Amino acid sequence: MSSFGRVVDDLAVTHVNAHATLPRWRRATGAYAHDGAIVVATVALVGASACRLGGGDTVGVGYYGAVQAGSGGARNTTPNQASGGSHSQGNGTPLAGGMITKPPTTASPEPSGPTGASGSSNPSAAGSPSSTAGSTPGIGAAGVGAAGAGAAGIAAAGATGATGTDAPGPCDLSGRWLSTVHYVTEALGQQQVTHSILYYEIAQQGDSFTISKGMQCSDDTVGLGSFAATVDTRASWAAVASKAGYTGRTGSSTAVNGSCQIEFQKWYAVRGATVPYYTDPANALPTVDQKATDTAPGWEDWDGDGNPGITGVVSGAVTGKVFIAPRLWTTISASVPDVSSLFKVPLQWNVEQNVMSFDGTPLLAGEAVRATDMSLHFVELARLAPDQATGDDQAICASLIALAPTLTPTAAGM
Amino acid sequence: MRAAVWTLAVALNPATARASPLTDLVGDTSSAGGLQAGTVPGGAAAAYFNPALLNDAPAGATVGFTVLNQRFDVALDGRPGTQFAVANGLENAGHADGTRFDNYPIGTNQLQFGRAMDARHLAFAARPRQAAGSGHETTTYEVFGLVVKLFKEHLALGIHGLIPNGQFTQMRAFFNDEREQYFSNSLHPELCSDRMTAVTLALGAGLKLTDGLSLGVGATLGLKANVVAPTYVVDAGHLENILIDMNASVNIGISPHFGLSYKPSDRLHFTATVHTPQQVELGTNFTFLLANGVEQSSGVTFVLDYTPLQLGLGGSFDLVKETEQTLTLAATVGYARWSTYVDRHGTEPASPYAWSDTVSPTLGMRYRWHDLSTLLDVTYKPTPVPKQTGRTNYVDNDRVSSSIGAAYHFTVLGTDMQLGAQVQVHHLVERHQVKLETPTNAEGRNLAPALVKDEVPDDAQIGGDPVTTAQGLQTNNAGWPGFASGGWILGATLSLTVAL
Repeated sequence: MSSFGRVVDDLAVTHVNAHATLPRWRRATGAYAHDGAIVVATVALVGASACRLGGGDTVGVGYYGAVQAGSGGARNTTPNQASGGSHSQGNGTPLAGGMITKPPTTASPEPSGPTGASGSSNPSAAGSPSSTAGSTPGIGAAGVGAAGAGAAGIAAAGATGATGTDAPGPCDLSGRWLSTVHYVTEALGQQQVTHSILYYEIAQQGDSFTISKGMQCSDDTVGLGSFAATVDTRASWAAVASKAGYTGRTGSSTAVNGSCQIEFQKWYAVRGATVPYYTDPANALPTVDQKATDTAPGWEDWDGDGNPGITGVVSGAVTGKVFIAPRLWTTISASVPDVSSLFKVPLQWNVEQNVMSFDGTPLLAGEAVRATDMSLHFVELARLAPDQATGDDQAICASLIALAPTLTPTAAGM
Repeated sequence: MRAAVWTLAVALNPATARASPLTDLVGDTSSAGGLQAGTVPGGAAAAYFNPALLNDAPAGATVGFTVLNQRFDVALDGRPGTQFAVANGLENAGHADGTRFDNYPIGTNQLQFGRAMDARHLAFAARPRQAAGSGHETTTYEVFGLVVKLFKEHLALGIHGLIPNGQFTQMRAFFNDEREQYFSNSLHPELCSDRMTAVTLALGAGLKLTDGLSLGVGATLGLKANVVAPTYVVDAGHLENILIDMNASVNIGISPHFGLSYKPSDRLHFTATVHTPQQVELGTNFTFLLANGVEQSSGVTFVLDYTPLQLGLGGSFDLVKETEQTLTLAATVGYARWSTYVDRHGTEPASPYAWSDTVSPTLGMRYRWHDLSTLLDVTYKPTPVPKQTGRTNYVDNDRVSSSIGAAYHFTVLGTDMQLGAQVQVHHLVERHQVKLETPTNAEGRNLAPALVKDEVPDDAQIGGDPVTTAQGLQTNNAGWPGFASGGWILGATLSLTVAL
């Protein structure tokens, strides 16, 4: 057998910056001769390695991408990264029961007015520049104090409590709201619609508002395609309502040319893991090996079934259970004609599903991604009447789940 | 005569037949036919190569044993940079407008090195480039043949077979582009490999019209199969639990061939042959029924062992013709319409990489000294495959083949016998090809479908976020950025013919 072809092994080792596992079968060339161990080396290829015939099939030395088996695709933004907002929402310090009451104090992209207003309820934030600057016209120091009182009143009485402000304007969101979130994910070409039902008590001061009580009552995921899956997480709803709160979220509703410009602060919500630690997108979500302890954050068994995080029961063409600790961010920026009763706004969002483990087929571990068509993602907010959704948190959520198809029919549909 | 009529009727039945790429390669290994069995009279192999020559073959039965060693090497050029690699985790990516890709590549790194099992994933077995190539097999065959003369030798009937031992026959379909990443992730010799295990069974009849003119007709036999597999999928996540039925049908297929033998003088001999296209069709159809009532179906018809229309013209001249010795010179020109080639997945290579028709010359000599006969043939067969600078990776080479053989005639207990041996050497002339650069664009459109496919279009996004590694070409095409091929095929045959 005569040799044939060019053999150009123009490899030049320029720097070391990656790990590569090279299998035994690869042609040993220069620094690459080894028997399958981990090699720490990166080479820059000056010229492509051509081939030699004889003695069986051969493969020239080449590049196959960074060693990243099992890692996610190379996207320009990690799920942690926000598009157009700060990476820190400053969810604050949780009180007993995990409810977050500390408002954002730093790096908030939102107007400083609401921060200062609600900051008055927390002494630790009272001295922050935002709380004292009174940078939003019309909300001076007195207004801050009044707002703080109002917020306290909301918490105590469950009323809207928009005290300490002037008469509500046409874009005033103060009051109690049902917020039904409709968003769509895709996995392997199959779409799933997720509905999240949230409860907001909003106190607005001027153009700015704070969600003085916010909780997620439920979420469900329904598969649309023949092979799509439906996910049921209802066992965790009660814990989610009490732990994964939206209290403290800020925003603004401003009258602009006869319409209302609505802005909701970008907000991170975590389920099945330690809050507020993981609401900071800079903190990587826990793996199945990172169970929370008294001293260290990690996943928590919110539904009490003995499995990590929250359990999603998957049905449809694929069945099984997934154990997840997801982190979702949402933000809203839209103009609506009025906010008197019901309005619909587009939603910007993304999620790290963080499937820590599964019970069933490995197909369950495949993560879905946000559908590209942004028109599929939206929120309907319906103002609640005084006699709707009253009682304790459990009763409120039960009422909202029942009311959602009626009060927010578009978002509650497919 | 009844047999002849039956043979003719079979021959005219235009069904799909068992192809004979193996026989076309090795020629007549058990008699004087050698690599010019359509030109030079030999034995029972004329039933396939030129049935008209059956009239010149002695009546007898032949058995033999052939061994064939393929040493077909493929060498892939190294991949020149990480920017050409497909990132892992793109299964949910899509075009900028949200539409799905027409196909989804496996992460190049994962393909090459595999993935260990973890809490979320089962292990993924690595499919390294060219780690599962083919064309290195050694195969043995049983050769048999029979020639019977009838009607005062005006009619000759023959049968010739070449039956692989071991796995009997192997049929393997593979893609010749980036889609093979899901399977062997390797390149395979297009016209060798499993084609060398095709069973050949040919029948022929030669009719001597005059002392100098004979006509022949024959057919190769084979099967045409279709398999329908209705499948019930209890859980798409547990395909190990599917329920399958089967509905299969098998038809006998034949492909006719024709021959002519003309002797204008005692020393001069002309021949002509026509072999119609041959192929094996294997239809596979699946229907999938899900527990939720959804039913879908799919199917593909594999085309295996395709052999095109072949025409042959030959001539021989007895330079020396004496009682003690004979020296014959022979030449054959073969034409093969490879431009109609259909690959294993039923795809016909299209322009600008359409295959070419070929013309193959063969030269040889036969020399007999008393009871010892020898042969020597040399042939050149150009490859019909153009340089694979685009998406496809049809691996084939020009071939220079030679066959040398000897046969000794003797008598045992009043029965004439012939013990023969042949050795063949086929050299696959080395060939190297480099892929052309693939243009890409921000819209993610495929501007040059004939070139290596950009498997991650430049407009790729996941959930609305652009995939930054999508710019330029990303491919798992195993033949990219280039490859070479070449090698040898070695064969040897030992045979015994008993006169009837």
